[in-house]
Amino acid sequence: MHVQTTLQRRFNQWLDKRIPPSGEITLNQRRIFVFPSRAGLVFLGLVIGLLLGGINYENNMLFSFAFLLLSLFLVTILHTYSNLSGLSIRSAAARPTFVGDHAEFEVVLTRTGSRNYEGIQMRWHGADPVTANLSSGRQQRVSIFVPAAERGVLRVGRLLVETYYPLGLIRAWTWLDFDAKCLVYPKPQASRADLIAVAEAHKDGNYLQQHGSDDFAGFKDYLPGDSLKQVAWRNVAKGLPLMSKHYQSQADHQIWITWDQFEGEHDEARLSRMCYLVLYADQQGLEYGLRLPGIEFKPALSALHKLQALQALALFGKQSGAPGS
Amino acid sequence: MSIEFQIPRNCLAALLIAQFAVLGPHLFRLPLWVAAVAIVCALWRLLLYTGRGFYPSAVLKALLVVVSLVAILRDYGSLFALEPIVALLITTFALKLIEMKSRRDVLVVIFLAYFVAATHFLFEQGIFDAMYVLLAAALVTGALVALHEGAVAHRPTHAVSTSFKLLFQAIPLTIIMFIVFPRIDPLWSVPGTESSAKTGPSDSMSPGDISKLAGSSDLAFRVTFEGDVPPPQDLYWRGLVFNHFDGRQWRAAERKDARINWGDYLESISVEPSTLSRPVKYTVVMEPSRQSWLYAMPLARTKTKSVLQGQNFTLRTVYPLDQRFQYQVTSWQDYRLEGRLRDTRRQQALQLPRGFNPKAREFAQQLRVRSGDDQAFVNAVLRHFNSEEFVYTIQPPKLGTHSVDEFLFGARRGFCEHYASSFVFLMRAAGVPARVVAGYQGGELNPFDNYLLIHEYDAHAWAEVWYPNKGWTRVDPTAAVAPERVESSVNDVLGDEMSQAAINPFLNLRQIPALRWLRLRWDTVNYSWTKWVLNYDTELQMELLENWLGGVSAWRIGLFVTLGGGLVMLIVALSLLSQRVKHKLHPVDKLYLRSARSLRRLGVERGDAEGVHDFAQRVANAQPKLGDSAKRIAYLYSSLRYDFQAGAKPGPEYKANFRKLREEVKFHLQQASTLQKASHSA
Repeated sequence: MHVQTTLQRRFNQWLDKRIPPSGEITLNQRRIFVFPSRAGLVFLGLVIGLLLGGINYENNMLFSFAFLLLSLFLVTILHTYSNLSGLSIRSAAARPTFVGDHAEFEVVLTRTGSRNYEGIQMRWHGADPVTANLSSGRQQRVSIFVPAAERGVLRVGRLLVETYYPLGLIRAWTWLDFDAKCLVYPKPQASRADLIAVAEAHKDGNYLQQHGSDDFAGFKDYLPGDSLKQVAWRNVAKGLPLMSKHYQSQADHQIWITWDQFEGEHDEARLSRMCYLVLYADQQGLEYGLRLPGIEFKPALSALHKLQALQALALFGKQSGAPGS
Repeated sequence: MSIEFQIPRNCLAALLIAQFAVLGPHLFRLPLWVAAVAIVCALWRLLLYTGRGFYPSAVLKALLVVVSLVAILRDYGSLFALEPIVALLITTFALKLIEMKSRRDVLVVIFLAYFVAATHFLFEQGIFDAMYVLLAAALVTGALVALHEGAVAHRPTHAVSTSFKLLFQAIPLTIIMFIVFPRIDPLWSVPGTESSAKTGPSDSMSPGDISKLAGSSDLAFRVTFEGDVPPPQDLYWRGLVFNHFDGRQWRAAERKDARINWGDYLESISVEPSTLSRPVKYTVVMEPSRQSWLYAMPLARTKTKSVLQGQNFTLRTVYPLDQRFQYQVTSWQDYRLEGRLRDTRRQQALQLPRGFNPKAREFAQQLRVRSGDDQAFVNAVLRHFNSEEFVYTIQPPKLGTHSVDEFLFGARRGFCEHYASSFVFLMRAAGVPARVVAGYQGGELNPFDNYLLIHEYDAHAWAEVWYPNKGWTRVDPTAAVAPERVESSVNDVLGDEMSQAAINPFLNLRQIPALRWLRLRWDTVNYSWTKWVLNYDTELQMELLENWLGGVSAWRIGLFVTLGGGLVMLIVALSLLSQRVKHKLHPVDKLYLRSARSLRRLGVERGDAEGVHDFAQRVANAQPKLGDSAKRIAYLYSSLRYDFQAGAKPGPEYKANFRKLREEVKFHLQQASTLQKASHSA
């Protein structure tokens, strides 16, 4: 076990030196590894079988056929290699997710030359591989989903990029480190108790009232972070610039989502319930504040507020928000 | 893998086509049910693909395998021969098709397909066979490419054209390997073909045996001489010597495996080396005869390994010939064979069955007494054949118990075996040692490459008579009846008769000049293929490497392989690096981009992602004179690209707009170039 981890660490160190973490990586001979695949080894076995046939039957055509297959194998090395070479890969975006779901990492494949790329498989550790082609256009965006098992920052490590094209006999691959990471929020967890908690925090009890149903206060220029639900789409359709419908905020529409509400449950469960309430309040258009030990967000209602709240929940108790590796 | 594997459509299509390409040539030599199994399995696979079929259960699979095995054993009796093994391989291949579920299974089927394709070479190795197998291999490789193409659907031909490209690049390396790979002796014995028909004279001769061969225009062997081709009357290709006669049938009396040491043999049968002169050297390439005797002119000696020297100076191989076989021979035209005949050998050469052909015996003894010596007796018998009304014919009447009597004194119509047999009978009856020799006589000269083609219809039987001190001497009684047979081929002599008798109506066609020209031209190609490719062996390899590399040594060969192989790989790598992909532009895009490019020299360059209207605005700001036309182009462009349904058939309105755009772009280009000239002169 110890040896294995040491070896793994050594290998990672070597890999870091050879293919240092970077935002955009163009694949070249320094970065691409090539070796026969398992199918390729079986294929070589087939070639040896044919050679034995050629020898025992003293049959030159069997020899030729064996040599043809062997040459095909050799030529394929170049084809498979060139099916990665010159491909530029960049990590474009990572979409946060909830525990138990899949985080979406987006990478962009760009050709640096004019060559086509076929059957490029990409995989992050523990995730299903995704196959992409780059046979038209210059770029291709590919989403790779990684299961999020734990709350906090999800670091996916190195991306395995491999290809077996054209014959599956040779595998060309590389590990790329984009330092890609994303937030994993607690898994939202609902129960009657949560609704009761909301009701209690809500002074006049009509917490279900839709925000803004009758308190329209005019238009404001749209700012990034404003809820898309408040955008005056009808005006956009008329060709006017993006505007947000603005509502008067009301104190009795405010709720507090607090750590102490869920006394008696263990920490993750508390965070899960709080997460649910954040989503719930945002969806219902209630202004909400969040109170965690040592952290407090004043009641508000905006996309940014929601993100901040969820981030706080995701990172609560994790080392300083951005744990080192 | 959470998603169930589904064979890509293109891969399945290529695989099914490849399956039949690979099986095609085998189906003619295998039982019919194998073809049926292959077709049923392919249809089953198609059903599975469309989601309507079911995968066979383990029990059903086991049952299918057992039934096929039993069927193969019933058809062939054993598994240890090439045909049943291939039948088994092909049935497995077909059955595997219906149990393919994972990517691994598909790979197994594809690899099996390569193997099945290669087994065709165990039966046939002609040029067309090679080309066919190459084509089949391309289809199989196409299936392999289609399996590894990305998820995006390509045109079905994409995979196959890729595979052709790969194979094309692989061929130079194949040739290099073929040239330098050492040809080592077989490591273990392997099952050969069993059911194939034997060709050429067999190990016994009854009346009618040789005439049967006269209808066949199949090739028996080819001969290349190291000098001039000897005249036709010397071209007697000895194959078998028959010593034993049972009244109807001639047989060889020698032990089959007797291997004679040349030196001992010379002594034991007293051939004086001094009498060996006028050597003729030549190379024979035998077609697979499924028999083990070889043919050569007397007095033959060979240095080719694995050729045995028979007791009567015939040549033979240890195993029947399943493949083309090449051997070098030196023949001495002047020789004296067995000047003194030992008693056992004399008895062999005088053996006759008792109680047969009393009239012939009497005739022979009387004629011998009248003749004085053996030589005169031989001439008397030949004169008898010549002067009496003997007929040389391909359709002799059937003969009864006393075949020689009936032939000599009754029918008098016969083919070479009748004459040879009767002649030897008469000799032996009169106490003159004699024997029947079977083989071929003559041959067709291919003027394009100066070699002889010996066909089945050249099969012939003649006699050898022993004279004291002179030894065995060839006597061809057929020549006494039909001297022209020796000068030319049987189908020149009997061609009309054969086509009338419908024995082989096509034999005459062979002599039509144009067809003959084509046939011989093609045969030259075929012969070169045989000599240089099929019979490429260590000897030829050494000769070739010696000539090319100026010597055979490890480092020379290593250098040749490294440089040759490296050069090929370098060319392939360069072709991959310089690969250009042509992206087809929409005609509207093409026009638009041309107009946009024309502004580059005026200092306005369109960004990759810049919208057409934004760009037109920018043009208007920078070059006001071009602004209007740029805006009109942008308008027409967006109308053409976005107002009409993509892929729909262009209507009159679309066409009108397109014409307008073309005019506008033309005008725009003119404007731009005038502006450019103006700015230059300014």
